[in-house]
Amino acid sequence: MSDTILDIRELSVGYGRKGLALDSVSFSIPRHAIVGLLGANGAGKTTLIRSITGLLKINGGHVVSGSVAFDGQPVLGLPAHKRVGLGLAQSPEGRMVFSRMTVEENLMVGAAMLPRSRQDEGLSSIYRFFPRLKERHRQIAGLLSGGEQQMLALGRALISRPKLLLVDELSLGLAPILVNEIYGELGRIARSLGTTMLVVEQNAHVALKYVDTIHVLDRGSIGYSGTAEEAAGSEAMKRAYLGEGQKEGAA
Amino acid sequence: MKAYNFGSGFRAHMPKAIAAALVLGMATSGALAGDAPKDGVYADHIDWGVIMDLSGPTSSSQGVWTKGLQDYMAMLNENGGVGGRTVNVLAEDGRFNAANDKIAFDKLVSQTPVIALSGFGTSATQVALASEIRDGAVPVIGTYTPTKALSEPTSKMVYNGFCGYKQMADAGVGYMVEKLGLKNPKVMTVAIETAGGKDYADYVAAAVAKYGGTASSTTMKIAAVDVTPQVQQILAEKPDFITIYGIENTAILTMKTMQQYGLDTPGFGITYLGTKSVYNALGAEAGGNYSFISCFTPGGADESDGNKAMVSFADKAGHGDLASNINYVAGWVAGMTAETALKKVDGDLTRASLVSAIEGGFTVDPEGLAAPIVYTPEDHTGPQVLKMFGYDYAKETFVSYGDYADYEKYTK
Amino acid sequence: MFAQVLFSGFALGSIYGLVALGFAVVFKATQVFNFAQGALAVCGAYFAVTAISILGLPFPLAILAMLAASALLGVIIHMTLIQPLSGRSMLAIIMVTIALSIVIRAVIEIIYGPQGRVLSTPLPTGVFIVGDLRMPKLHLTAAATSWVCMAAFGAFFRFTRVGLLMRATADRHEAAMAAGVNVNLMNRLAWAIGSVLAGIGGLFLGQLQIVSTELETIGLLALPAVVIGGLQSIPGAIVGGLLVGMIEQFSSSYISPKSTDIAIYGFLLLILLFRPWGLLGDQETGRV
Repeated sequence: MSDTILDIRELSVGYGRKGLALDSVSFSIPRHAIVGLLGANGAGKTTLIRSITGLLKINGGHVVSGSVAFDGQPVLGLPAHKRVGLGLAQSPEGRMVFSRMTVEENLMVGAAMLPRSRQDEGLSSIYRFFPRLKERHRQIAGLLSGGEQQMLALGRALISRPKLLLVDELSLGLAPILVNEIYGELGRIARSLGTTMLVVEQNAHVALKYVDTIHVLDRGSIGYSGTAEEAAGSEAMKRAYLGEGQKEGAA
Repeated sequence: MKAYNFGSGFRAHMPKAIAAALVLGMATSGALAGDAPKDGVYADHIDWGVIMDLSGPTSSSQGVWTKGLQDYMAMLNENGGVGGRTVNVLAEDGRFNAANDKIAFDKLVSQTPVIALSGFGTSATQVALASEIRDGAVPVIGTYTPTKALSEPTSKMVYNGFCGYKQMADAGVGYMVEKLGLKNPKVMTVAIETAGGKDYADYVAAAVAKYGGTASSTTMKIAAVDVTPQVQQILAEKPDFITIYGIENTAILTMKTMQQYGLDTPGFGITYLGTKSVYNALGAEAGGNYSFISCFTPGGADESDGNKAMVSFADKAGHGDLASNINYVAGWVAGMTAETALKKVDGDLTRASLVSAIEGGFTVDPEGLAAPIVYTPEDHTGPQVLKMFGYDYAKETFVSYGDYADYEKYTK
Repeated sequence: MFAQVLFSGFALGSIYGLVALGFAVVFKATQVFNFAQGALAVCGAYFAVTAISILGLPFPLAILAMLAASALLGVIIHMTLIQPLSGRSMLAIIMVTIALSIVIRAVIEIIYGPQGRVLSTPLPTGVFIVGDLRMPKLHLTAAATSWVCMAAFGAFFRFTRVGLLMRATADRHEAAMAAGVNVNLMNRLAWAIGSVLAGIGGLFLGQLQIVSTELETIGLLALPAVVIGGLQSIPGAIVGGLLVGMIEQFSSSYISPKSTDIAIYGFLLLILLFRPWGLLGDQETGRV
């Protein structure tokens, strides 16, 4: 078994007849690493995540060429639920909790793929990580605060003990102090469980604090790759990504 | 619109038939030029038109009627036809829609002309086309549902071929009142919402009034599948008996729902509703309360010559199961009526000569399938003597209650 | 008279509620406004006719066969018509369901003929008479079965793992996919359930009345029922069905049999004007 958990090779993706949203993107994620994927709004981050998780098609996109291998297995042909079954979980952008179901029911959906005997154990471990969820386990998820919903989305993804967790735009719409708190907690959980994480962030300053290495997407291509330390000290990266990226952020 | 070209199997061999028709057309166009094809009379055959619902909600009765008429014509043709010509039935499907009937009517009047027409099962069509028929050139001989609009006052263009609703109401009400020994009968009519249904309810009310009783009515859509409201009304009004006007489903639904609610009020249906499928659907319990009034004797219900001939020909034609259907008998008798009318013509057969030949009246002898049908210059009512029939579930045959003669007093 | 009408309204309304529940399950899961729900009820009735009257299966076996056929029909419809259109406009999918209902009707008329059929039943057919009130046993059985089915499916959604996943799918499609739920399977299951509930409704309507394609009109009362009750609400569908049954029976008895459609759709109009999310619907998501 190789040390690479996710391997993306020359992946190109388009939506309808429009131009490519991803143009020959390649990178890989080593096992147990915490990797950041940065980029401005519209740079292709969400498209890349959808390609990895299998939610591309229902959003009208299609893979033009390239490959994605998870744990040594090509996954582009697999439906989303099968990828989750392989251990590829995600906490989607905008949190997307089941707003009319209770907190515990939300978590049980994530635990549904576990054998029945391990569901309770999964549930109690999530409650250990996020005590707030335990306090509110009977509450309707739609009535939780933004931070609590984010915890719930993470808990729902983590409950099945995935090998790779994709965290999509965690900071969106949350107070900075809350973002730092959740990222800190998430980092501890990932390291204690040995979960590999791919953290997608628009907010580079936040992300650089918690990840080992980063890849920057710029208009559909990888514009920069390096360790978090390198990136933090790199003028080139700051110019290339923070400069240009924000000007064309709305593209 | 489908043309049922009797006995030809035309549609199955379309390309061949078209080629043959072209050849035939070229070969015979000269010979036909001097004939009078606009009246549907040809050297070797006569075209006779039928407009009935061969599909749609009423097709279960009207389609069977059409088969009865076609089968009678087939038997007639086997025996040499009329005056050396065979009778070819052009049947058009009205699909329970007066607009379709109108198109079919125009077609049979001029495009593929026929000598005369039978059928017109949809009462709305009769009402709509009444003046056109009465002022037109094509006689209608043997109607299926007689309506006031078409048959009153008597016209030389219209000869009814089915017991009228008035006669059904008079004979049915009279028999029930007498049998149940009622003084001031309370009667309810259950009818579908058609022109004929309204007429029938009025006739029932008039018949009941003669006995000093009271009549009410309730209606439903032709395609009704739920008659709970109508049965609630029966529950509330508690009539001595009910009478049903409509299609088979109307009778089945009404009697069945009444049974579900534990009501054993007796009911009788109009002639069209006297079929085995109604009785089989009802079962012995609900069917025991149900009878029907008819001017035609179902096949197998007696041993008359006409009945035996019809049953054996129906068997031969593969319609053995239809012979006991009152609609089939009615179609068969309409065929007899058509034959009798055609045979009244001496010399050239045209629409005009046919109309004038029968204007003075004629009598059809249904050989026991009905009482003799007498058309006089003043009276084109058609079959006027009716009797009540029931069903014997053990023997699976219809039972006739008495003789036609016993019933003459109700309709005279 | 009042009690009698109330009884009939309750008995028939229970069946409408069952068919409406099937509609609501499909709508919640796949957001498809299924105009073929009435036709599915007709299919159930004809499956029963085929199993009982034509094949002559013993009643319990016939019912199982009819349920299986209904479920399979729902699955086939989802696989061949609904799933390939996912992501297309609601109008396109509505048109597909309308076309489907027309096709089903035509196919049934070709196979079984236009004449209605009578469904023989081994269920008790007597009547309980209490004073002036007549309660046919068949109506009681139909109402009781409807409520048992509704309770059973309610429990299924509330307490089972599959029910949980179906609710998750209905709640938020993409989130369910992200959470590893086999959304297509859940949707297929929703269609199977929707079709089975319609089928059971059709079976009882056929037994109480007559099996013909015209049963579709009664089956389609599920539509006003769910809109009245609240499109997104499962209890709303049941309450809506009951209300439609009551309105139908009361208006036909106290006004005229011809007034039922006016009464039902007039009430529907009032709901749409003053409470467009339905009696038990969710104001946020259930607006029609």
